[in-house]
Amino acid sequence: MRPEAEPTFERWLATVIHGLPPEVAAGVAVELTAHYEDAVAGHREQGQTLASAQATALADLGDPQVVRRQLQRVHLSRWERLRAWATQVAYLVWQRRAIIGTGLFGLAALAVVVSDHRHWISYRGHLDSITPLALILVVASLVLEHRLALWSYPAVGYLLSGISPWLLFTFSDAYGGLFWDVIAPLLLPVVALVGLAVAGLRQLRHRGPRRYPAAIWLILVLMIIAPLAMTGIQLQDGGVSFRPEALSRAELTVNAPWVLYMTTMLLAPVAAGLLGARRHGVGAALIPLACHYSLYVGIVDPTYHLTFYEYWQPSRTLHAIEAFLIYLPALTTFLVTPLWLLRARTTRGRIAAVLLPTTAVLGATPILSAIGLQNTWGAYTAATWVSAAIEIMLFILPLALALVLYSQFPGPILGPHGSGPADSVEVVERSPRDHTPSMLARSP
Amino acid sequence: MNVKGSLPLLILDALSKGASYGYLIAREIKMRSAGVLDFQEGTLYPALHRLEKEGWVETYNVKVDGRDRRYYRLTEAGVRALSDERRSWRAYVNAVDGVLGDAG
Repeated sequence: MRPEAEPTFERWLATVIHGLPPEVAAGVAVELTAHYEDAVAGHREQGQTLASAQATALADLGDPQVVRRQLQRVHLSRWERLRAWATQVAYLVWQRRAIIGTGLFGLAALAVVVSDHRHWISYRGHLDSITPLALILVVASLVLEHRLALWSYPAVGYLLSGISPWLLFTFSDAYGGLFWDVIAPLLLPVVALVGLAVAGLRQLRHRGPRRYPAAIWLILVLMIIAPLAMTGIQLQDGGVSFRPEALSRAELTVNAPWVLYMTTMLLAPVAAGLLGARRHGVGAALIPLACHYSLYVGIVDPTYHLTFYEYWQPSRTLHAIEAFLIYLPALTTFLVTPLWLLRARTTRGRIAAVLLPTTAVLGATPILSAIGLQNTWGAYTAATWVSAAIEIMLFILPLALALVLYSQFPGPILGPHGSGPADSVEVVERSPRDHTPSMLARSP
Repeated sequence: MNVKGSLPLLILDALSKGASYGYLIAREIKMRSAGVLDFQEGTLYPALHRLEKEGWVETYNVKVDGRDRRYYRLTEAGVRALSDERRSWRAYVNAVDGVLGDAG
């Protein structure tokens, strides 16, 4: 992890003269530089080391913002000061555009969930109030940065995750029948997955490692086994499906393709995220994560267990837990994880940012449900816990796959000496068209 | 002790002994007050520039070690202003002393 940069006189001076007319700024710079150098020399004569003398001289000069404001009062008219202030605010906002954009989108997503108190924020496609904001973020990223910047990834993921449900329900509602109800939902994500995976793998073939770690193959095998195991448990114990009567074997067998559908839907954003991994490494996991949110609340409704039993066992505890489970996924997916990821400075920190909040939310669901359903006929059994664990695995595995792939994925600009892990790229990379440092690189 | 409001008076007084430059003026004020009067040295320059705009001080550059050093000196208006400011300050101090004396 890099240490915070030490304050320097150059930075102090830059702050002081910011917004002053050039001729005034030049004069002030000469005066203050002479003052600083005289002060350093004075402290050195008193026996201080150079570093200590510089630190003391800088501290004696005081708060640069105060000096800047006072100089502006002397040298600028009221209107000019207002303009300088606006420029300064715009500059600060621009410097923090990643955090601000991500935070605003996260708060908007959260506000929608809280105000509507609804679970399916995008299950029927993106016809909700944050879709325009998501589109604005994506367009702003393309216009301002000439590419999809990391801070637009939650919005990209959010929009991507809405395409398949939107198509599904549009055609299902319009036409109905076996094809549109069953086959089309399976075909859509498969086609999307294949297209995106081919695009991602083409890049991997050109730039990726020659051999992939065993973890990738293990995760892929687990991803196939998990939904099958889920169906198997449901066949053994219909109680885990939380229906008052056990489902018939036929019903559960039909359920298997839907579980596979969900798995495919989870894999698709991973493939999409691979394209972004070239530039942002682990940060590209924000795309699958945002998709996961929609899928999580849309397909595996975290409050389903509670709301079902609430009908028979209404209580304050159940209501409190239900509210918590509704807001928690949005809070972590759209706010906590993206902001954590943007602030993380190490690969381990970024992986933790993606995995820890998500795992905490996924883990909280069965734990809180089990607490809420104590002493009811829906109390958790061993089969319920196993089923919940598999459900968590279904969401964590694609994320883990994304993280392993991203960590193996070299970036586009590696300097003159070949490849390296994606995160080493994030610190040094420059877009050919945009010479601002990567958002993941700490500004000096 | 913060000298925020009285910094212009202190600067004018320091310059009444002769032309000087920013760093030396700051040293002079801190030394003569035995370190009691403290201020952020960077704020000396906005105050000096304000005095220059008022016409109470004027500036000229001197080359020192190949570098321009900006000197400040009092103008006639500055001398008069210093005299006025000193009178105002005495009146203020006497008034405060009067109140504190009554209280004591």
